[in-house]
Amino acid sequence: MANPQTHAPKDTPVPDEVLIEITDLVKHFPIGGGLSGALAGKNGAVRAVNGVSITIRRGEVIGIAGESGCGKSTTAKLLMKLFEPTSGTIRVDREDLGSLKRKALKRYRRRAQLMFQNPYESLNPRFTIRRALLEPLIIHGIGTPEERMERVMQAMHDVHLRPQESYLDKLPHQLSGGQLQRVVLARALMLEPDILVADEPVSMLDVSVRAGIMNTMRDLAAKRNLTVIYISHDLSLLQYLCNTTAVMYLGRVVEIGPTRKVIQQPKHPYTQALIAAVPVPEPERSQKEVPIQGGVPSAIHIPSGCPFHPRCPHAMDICSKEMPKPVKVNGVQVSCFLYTDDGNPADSQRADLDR
Amino acid sequence: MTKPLLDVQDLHIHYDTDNGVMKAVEGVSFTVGAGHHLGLIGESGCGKTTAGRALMRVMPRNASIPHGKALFKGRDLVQLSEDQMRELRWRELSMVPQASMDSLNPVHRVGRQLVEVLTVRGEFSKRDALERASELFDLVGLSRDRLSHFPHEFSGGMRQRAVIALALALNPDMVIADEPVTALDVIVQRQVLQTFRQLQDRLSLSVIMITHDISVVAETCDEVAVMYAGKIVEWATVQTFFNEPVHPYTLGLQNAYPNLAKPDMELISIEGYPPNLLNPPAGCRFAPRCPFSQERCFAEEPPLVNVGPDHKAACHRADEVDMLREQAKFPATWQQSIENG
Amino acid sequence: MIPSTTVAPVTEAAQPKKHGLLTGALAPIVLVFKRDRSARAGLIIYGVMLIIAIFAPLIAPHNPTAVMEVDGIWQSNKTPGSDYLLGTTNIGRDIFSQLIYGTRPALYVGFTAAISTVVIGTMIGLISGYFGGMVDLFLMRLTDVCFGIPFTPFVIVLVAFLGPNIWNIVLAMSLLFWRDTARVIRSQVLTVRQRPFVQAAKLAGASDARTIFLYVAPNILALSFLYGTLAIGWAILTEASVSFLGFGDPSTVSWGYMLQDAYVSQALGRGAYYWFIPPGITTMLAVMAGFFISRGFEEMLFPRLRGR
Repeated sequence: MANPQTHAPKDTPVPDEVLIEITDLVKHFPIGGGLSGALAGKNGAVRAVNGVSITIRRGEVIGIAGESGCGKSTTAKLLMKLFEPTSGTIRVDREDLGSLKRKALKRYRRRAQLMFQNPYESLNPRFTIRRALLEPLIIHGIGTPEERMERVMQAMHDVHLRPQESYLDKLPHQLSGGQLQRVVLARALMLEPDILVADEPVSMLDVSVRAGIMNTMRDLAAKRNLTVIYISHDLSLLQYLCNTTAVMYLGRVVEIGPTRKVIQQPKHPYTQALIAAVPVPEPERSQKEVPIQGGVPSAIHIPSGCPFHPRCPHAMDICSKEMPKPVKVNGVQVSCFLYTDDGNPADSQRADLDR
Repeated sequence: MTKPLLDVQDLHIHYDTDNGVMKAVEGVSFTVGAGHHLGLIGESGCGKTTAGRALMRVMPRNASIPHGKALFKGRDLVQLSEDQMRELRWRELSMVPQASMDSLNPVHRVGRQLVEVLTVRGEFSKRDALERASELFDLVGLSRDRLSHFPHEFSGGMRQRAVIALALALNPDMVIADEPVTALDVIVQRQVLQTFRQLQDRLSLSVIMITHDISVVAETCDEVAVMYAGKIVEWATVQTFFNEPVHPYTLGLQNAYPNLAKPDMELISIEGYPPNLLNPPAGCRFAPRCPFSQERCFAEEPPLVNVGPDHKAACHRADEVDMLREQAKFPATWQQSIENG
Repeated sequence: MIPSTTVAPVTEAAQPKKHGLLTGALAPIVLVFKRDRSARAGLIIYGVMLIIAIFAPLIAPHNPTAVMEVDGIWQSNKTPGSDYLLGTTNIGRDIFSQLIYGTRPALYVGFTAAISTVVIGTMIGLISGYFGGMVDLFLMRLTDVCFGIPFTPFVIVLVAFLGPNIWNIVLAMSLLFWRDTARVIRSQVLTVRQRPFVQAAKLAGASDARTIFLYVAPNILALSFLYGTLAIGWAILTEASVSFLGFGDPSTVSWGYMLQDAYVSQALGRGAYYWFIPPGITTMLAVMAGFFISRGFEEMLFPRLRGR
């Protein structure tokens, strides 16, 4: 069966029904006493997430991009309830995640699944593949043994681990990174979730193997109508898989909108710099100077006002004093003083990307 | 044509393991001209890191070089004694190993580590060494006052640049960089790649860039050698590599890499896995995964031959390349049995 | 329900293979002995000791506590000869028989103390490391207290209260020796707990008990084994020391007891080497065997780069 030419996700219209509502999410990790306390000051904290608000619709495939320390992984973990936020809420189907207890929590754990970054560490080294895949069903007491094995076989078929028999009795250390990540994907699907969070799902795999996994994930997400949240620093991955993209910097969303618009016509100076920096497999393209210097500052001492202002080539006075509110420009939401609500750049200095 | 700085001829590298002899690199030949950057590209396990380390002669105890030459400035690196290699390392040939951001000693200031190399191995006086260390930091784009900082005060990208500075301390002719930007954030990655480009321009530095990412190669290299299962399957200038690839594996690779400037490109992966190098197959090592393989490919290994000016490939069907290139564009061509028993 | 029309029915091959004990959970342990020469040596020594202990009544020519008499004359201080392979003690007991019977207390003590040390230590380490917080705080302070208590005086006090019985010695060891294992297991648990597959289990809804027993414990058991094998050596040595100091079980003839007996009767002064050297050697071998086996496990847990 040839790869069906599915609609490139970046072009599909996003459905209407709201599934996940993240409002003013904040997560600070206080730094304890001792050396790190002394370095950060008594009240030091790693301000990983600083007021993130995102609305995710059912069936949407959204990518969260940004460099290390921007808070995207922490946001994903908050969504999975790996820990609790410092403030702010996450509502799934209008239910506040923070208020879920016991049974309701267990139900949530069925609907929302997480794929970790490191395929080599995502599976219990002592479980065979069969056991690893059966585990979620055993925990939730689903199905008879025959029904369980049927699901396992189906999931393995869907992730292209065939013939299934040759994988069932193997241990994780016997499989390659790509195969392991497929097992992880299959495991995530065992409970028939409707939400899938994938944290850098292919970054630890060879680039030649990534394409296969990305295609599998894309096809499965469409087939099962999953709402997927991809976390990645790799913009080309997000462009391939997502219909919406959000760019985060130091714990805030600086730009969010339809993928094609965000990547092809970036508005926020940080997004522009990020896109300019991605290496492209075309030797003729002129090498652009990176418009910004230095690296991302630590999340302990976040600059005042707009967190990007120290590195921004278009920084104005107001940028160091106030936090820009998100405005809608051409269908994309940007948090930058260079723009005012709908359409017009506030300043003639608006940077344009040479394409 | 001037003599190349590095001329590797028919290099073989074997590992002695519990399960037998693993033929990690078999008959690899390539050249690097003075001031040129060569990209050595391939997936994990293809032998590129092994080859890089072999040139520096820093291999694990169970590795050996049963055959081949590596002529560096006329001298065969394979034949040199350990003492002779030690003289050469860092002074003429140095290496930036994988994940080397973590190879800086955490308890010493970065400047001190640089000065140590300069005074101990380079016979600089303390004062000259400090001056040189400052110059090196300028060269890699780090501010001078960072010399007195400790490694943990540097970010990942800065540490990587510090390690590059260390590799350049004694002005070697060539640097072997193994996955120098893999663990770095995109913007920092760009800064480091630019640094390499600038060094090439300013110092006429030769670099062997070992990586699995063809975009990195597109940004920094002049020539590309593609390795697969211990062999070089294609060698070309960077333009030729991207515009006129010949080997089916290269054709496959180009399909598998997403391109930010081509949002509508459908990615096609190469199904299957590289062969076991303990017992490599008889014919072409790519044959089992190749959509164009024929009987001849499984029986006879294709030699690496010229297929154009400054362009070599190891494929029996190289003369049919136009047709193969056309077919390679379709996902159906690559849709072999995804089932791998 | 997922439509199963696209998938072949679950075939025979898809049924789980029944693993024998040796190929399943214990496989890595068996591998240690296959691979490491010193571990095999240790295993052989214990094997031999075990056989001797089981067949002691058949191997030993006499009762170890019986006084040898020939025509009413006590056979004391006889040097090694054809009648008494290793000679006799100063009151006429056969040293060779004592040596043979001595394997029994060495093995009981060694293995039971090692097992209880490891079981208690591992459980405490697991609970402390996994749950953290107040539980961890409490258990670790308890461990610190145990570290603070010096062993010999503790044994003396215990023996004073409960009597000088060999099982009381084992009890004393079990009450104190778990401290090393607990600390090490706890720090290993802290690491394993962070690994993605453990987090994945919790995210899948696994209960704490399940996570501990199926995910964390199997991945630290090797370390428990390592400490267990180390504990065997220490336990045997400790029993010998305790008996040597005179707090041992007077009704059991252990090697430590033999050493004490020899010391007290000034065997060194009399040059009765045949009395105290053999139990010294056997104790040494028994302790070394434990450490040899632990070397094998250490190699498995922290392998050196294999070169040839």
